[in-house]
Amino acid sequence: MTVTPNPEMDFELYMDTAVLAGQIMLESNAETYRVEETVTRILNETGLQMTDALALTTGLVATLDSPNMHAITVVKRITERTTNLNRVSRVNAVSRNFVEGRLNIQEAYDALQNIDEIQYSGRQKSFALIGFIQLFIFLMGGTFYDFLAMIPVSAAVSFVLHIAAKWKIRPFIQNMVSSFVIAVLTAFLLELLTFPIQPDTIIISAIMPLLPGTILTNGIRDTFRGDYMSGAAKILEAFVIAVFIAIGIGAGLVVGGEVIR
Amino acid sequence: MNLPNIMVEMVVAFVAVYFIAITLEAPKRTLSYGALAGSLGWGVYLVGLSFLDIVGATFLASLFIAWIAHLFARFLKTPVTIYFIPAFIALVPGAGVYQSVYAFINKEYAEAQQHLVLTLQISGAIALAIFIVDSLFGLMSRIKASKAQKHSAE
Repeated sequence: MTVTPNPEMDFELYMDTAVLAGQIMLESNAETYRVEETVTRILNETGLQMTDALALTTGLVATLDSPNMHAITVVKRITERTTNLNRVSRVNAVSRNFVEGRLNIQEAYDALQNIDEIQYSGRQKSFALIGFIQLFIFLMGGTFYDFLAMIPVSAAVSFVLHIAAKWKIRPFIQNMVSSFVIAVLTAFLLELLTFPIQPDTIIISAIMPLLPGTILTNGIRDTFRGDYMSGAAKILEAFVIAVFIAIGIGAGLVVGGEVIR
Repeated sequence: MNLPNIMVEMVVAFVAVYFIAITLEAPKRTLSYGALAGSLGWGVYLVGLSFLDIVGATFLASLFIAWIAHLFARFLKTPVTIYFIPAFIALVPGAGVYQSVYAFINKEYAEAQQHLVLTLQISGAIALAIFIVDSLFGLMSRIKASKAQKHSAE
């Protein structure tokens, strides 16, 4: 059973759409297998014999081939990844609508290009970050005193991350600087405050949004699925992030302790 | 831990997960569902802690969260990750990764190893729970599809 390529069909547009969808998903930290699934599903709509996609944490390869035409293969390098659940959800909706025939290929491509809607303002996100840190301390076994001591620390983390996002500072440096600030502030508070606080609990709750627990778990999930490359890459990423945070905290505790003395 | 304490912590977990979901840019209509999954999962974890160790309680809570997240995903027609990432935020061993690296930098190798083993066990437990529930839901949809096919063939 051979399928003759339909000359009316714009295969390159299909390819662009599929790769764009995959790129957005990978940049938003979607699971590797889901990216491959989405790309293949869009490419399958061409009806060609061979459609294949390989997604890695750091890149994406997709190919489209049939015996009577030249193969189209696209490689896309993924350099930056930040978790953005809304973009994952929107790409999913577009690909679902396209596969079920509610969108044609041009509409799907345009929809993917305009996917960056802003849901929450910077201020809302900073506030949410502070709220999360302040509440998380109770789940870590903190007391009300820790909650009070946390207020300046969480405000500082939120401020540092806001500035870093504005100036597009590399994620590793962002993590290191904000953990440094957390540790210095905690060392100060430990000396200045008259009520008892638990510095370890405060530090761990404050760095919670930066910590790579989700990345490590996703790495192990990928490994269980047989995506060894992505799994190993994510596990390594988790430990590299943790190293930068630990350096920041260690340096901050030393500096903060020295300054206060 | 007694029941009122667990209830209070579940409420705290609900609001905390709601907030972290905002920073992760979760779609607006899914915010409270993710928070609900996180809060109920934290409740299961606390109850589980009373008769299991940390790894066992995490496994139990992860099974529960993965199951409820799949239900929400089907119900609201969204990818399941949208509920996974916020809801698991309180269970994933972020602190463990940091503690093991920090102990390692301070040359406390025995402590580093202890933290590392526990961290890998916890994230392994979560990954295993998600894997089991994913496979079960995949199997169920395949059975449903084959039944529908048979039905239409007749």
